[in-house]
Amino acid sequence: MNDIQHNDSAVFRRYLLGQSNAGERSTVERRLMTDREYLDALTRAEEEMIDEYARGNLDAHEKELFESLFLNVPERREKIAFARAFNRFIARHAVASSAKEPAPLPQPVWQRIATVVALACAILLALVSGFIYRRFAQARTELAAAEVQRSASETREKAAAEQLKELEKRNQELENEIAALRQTSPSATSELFTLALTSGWTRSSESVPAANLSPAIKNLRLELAVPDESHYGRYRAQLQTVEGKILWNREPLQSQHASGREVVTITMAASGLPQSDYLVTLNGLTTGGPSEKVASYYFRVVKK
Amino acid sequence: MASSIGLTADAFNQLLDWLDPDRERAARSYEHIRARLIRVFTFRGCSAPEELADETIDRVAGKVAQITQGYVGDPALYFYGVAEKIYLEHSRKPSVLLPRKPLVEAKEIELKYACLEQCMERLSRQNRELILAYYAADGNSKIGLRKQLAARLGLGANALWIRAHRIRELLRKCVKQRYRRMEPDVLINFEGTQ
Repeated sequence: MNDIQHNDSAVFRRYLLGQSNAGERSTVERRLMTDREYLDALTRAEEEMIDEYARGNLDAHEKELFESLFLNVPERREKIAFARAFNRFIARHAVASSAKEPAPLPQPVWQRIATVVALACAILLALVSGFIYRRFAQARTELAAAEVQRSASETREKAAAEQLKELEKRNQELENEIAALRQTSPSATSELFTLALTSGWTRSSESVPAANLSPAIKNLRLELAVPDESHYGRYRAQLQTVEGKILWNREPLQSQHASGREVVTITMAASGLPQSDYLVTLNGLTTGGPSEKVASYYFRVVKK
Repeated sequence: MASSIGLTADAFNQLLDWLDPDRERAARSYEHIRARLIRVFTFRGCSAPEELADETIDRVAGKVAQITQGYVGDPALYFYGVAEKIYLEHSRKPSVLLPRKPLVEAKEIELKYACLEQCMERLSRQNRELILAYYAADGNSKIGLRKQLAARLGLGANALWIRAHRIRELLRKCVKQRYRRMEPDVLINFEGTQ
């Protein structure tokens, strides 16, 4: 199976996006008709591609190919809708569960049968040993009950400790956000200029969103609209000049629901922004993995 | 066992005889071939893959007396050859590729998310933790994290995926059922709140 994955992942990708030539397509399909493991590997590649689409990780060309082939099939549309809900659920719940090791899997059937047989033998022996067994069984029952009680208590304590840890972490994040806002927020609303940005503008667009900053404006607040298909809990925003010089970087940032959409808000001192064009890049932060680009936004600062 | 509509009992029996002299194994072989034909048509983006798979089977069954005399090899590949012809015939018809439907809508995702939360509650603790750990891995770290998870659970990488995939499919079917049940009334209420 690993061999299949390593050798054929590029082939699968081309095939799933309808980009294989006739020969390659025929080779793939003839093999999937007769090879169960190959079909599993292809199904796995398909599932991963649906997840990539649901998480907004396909590039524009792949996205177009994907939609032309996948949205046409009712079962695949249903899988995509599920994948979006599923990935959102995973993003929201995986942080809490990643700290815990997955519980051991249930015993295989043969092991369970062996356990039952062993218990039967024990009962038979117990009948023979009479009184001794009764004493032993009684003691074992008491021990098991105590163990169950102790285990339940430990589980409750562990869950409570994790919940507390999570709340403390969230609290700390909120305190950090408040502290950051205190440092950057203006004392009066008139000193603040707010600019709402959506991704999709290019620098060559005629009407790039502009912030007209008079000398009285102390701070610039940018409201970055998060694309619908992005469901990250936390984000990193980076401001740079169009020449690529990084001016400002902050994480983790939480998105908020405002006016029917998710936005990430950042505030910065207007004095640090001379008249020019700028680019803000928004990256989604994943659990334990690298950040992933979500969107970029161009805007222009005009000094009055 | 599903049989296609256009098949007579006689032709169907002949087809099964060709697939395997043992009737039980022949039935399994028929189901596998039909399922894989559906996958082929699905992968090619056909909007009605089951219909095309059944048409393929009907076409093969109609010629099974001739096939048994001359064909040597895996029957599945014979079906595949016919499926290619069926696809070509249908791809020439303008109705095969339907106009692209709009993207999945946000309200559907919200409702399915609510269904999913209920379905997750029905999973055992082990399965819930496994699926969260497996699918949380993303990006470059995915391979390494899944290897660690497989090692912890004493499974091979493929066995781990199969287990995670089965749980995911159970969840998908559960969500699909719940969504269908809630659709008529909840959707109306949802519209009302817009």
